Amino acid sequence: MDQLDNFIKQLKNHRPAVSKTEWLRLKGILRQQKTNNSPRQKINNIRIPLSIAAGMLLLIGVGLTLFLSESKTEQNLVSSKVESERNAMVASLQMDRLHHRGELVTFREGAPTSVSLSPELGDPYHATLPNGDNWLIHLKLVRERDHCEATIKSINDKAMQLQLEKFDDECNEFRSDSKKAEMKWVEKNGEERIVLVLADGFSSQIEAPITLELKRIY
Amino acid sequence: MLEYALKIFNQSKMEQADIKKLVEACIAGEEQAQEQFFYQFGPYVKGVVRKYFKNNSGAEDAFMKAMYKILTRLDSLDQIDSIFGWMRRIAANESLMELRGSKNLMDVEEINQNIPQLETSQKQELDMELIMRMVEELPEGYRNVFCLYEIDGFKHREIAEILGISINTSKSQLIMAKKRLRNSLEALGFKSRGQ
Repeated sequence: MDQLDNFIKQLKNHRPAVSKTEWLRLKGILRQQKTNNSPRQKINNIRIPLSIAAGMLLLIGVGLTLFLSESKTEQNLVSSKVESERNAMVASLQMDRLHHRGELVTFREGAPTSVSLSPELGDPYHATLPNGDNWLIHLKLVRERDHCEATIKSINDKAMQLQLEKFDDECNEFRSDSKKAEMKWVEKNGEERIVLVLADGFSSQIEAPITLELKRIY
Repeated sequence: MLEYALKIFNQSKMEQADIKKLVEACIAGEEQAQEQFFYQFGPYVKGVVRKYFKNNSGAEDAFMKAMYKILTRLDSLDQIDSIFGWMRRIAANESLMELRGSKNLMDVEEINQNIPQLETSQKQELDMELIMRMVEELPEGYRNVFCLYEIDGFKHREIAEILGISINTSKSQLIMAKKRLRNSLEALGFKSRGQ
């Protein structure tokens, strides 16, 4: 037999003695691992990560709530802005009709489908000033037996809240407290017309009292 | 000491059925069985591990890891009669992993041309300490391939996979390792085949 073969054979059969110390060391490792694998230890092991995860979830929840709250506020602001823009658009559309169609041929055609009118905005009326300017006036008019009300909501998209008081029992005439405005229903050529009289102090643009005939646009 | 020697003696006579019972008890986590298993198979595992290292400290860690892995993975042992091969593979792999993680790694290409003069013994049976020293003096690459192939029964294809080298490298390193060992043996006065 080759000496190398003998050498290899001896190596294969080599069995170094193991010591008590080595066993004790291994036993310690095994016990440690056993403890780590016990259900209680597993719970302990995941307790800290769970606590951290719960804390993070809480933080995320609070953050999300705050974010949503902010977002909602912002959305409300946006809604207000949209509403405001929509109102402006209504006025703009109405004014466009007035300017582009001259003799108000669109009267009582009905509101454009793209426009949603708000009851608070009032109904649109047109008036032509003596100098030829066209005005868009929004009015809230109620002429019921038990409820009479006339309020100027806006003029040329400039919001106002000028309430006129009923002046007669038939709800045919209204006047403002300041006597700057007066509104009445008159009959002309068999048709009922609305006449609005504005005093010279009504606005800076009006230097003398003017009488306007109001026509419902739609 | 006598008690320990008797224990080893008794354990060496273990039948396969006994080994199976012992393994089952170990899987069940019985500490006494684990201790018996350690004294029964520990020397074999230690023998596999020891030859991969130049010093005992690294070997000791690898031995602990190998024994721990063996004792905690006995449930994956398919057949009881293949337990030695199974343990040998685990021990060899743990040794190599320990070597990779060791800072005292010898470079695979490192070749120590100056084999220290070993005390000559004209006996045909070599002293195990001398054998271990000769193996230790091999460059790590040579030593690993030699041990894996000649002692632990791995094939070149497996060695190539384990060590991340080519099959040809494994073969050539084995040839070089054996050549070196023959030279060392001749230097000690032992005659090799063909001389």
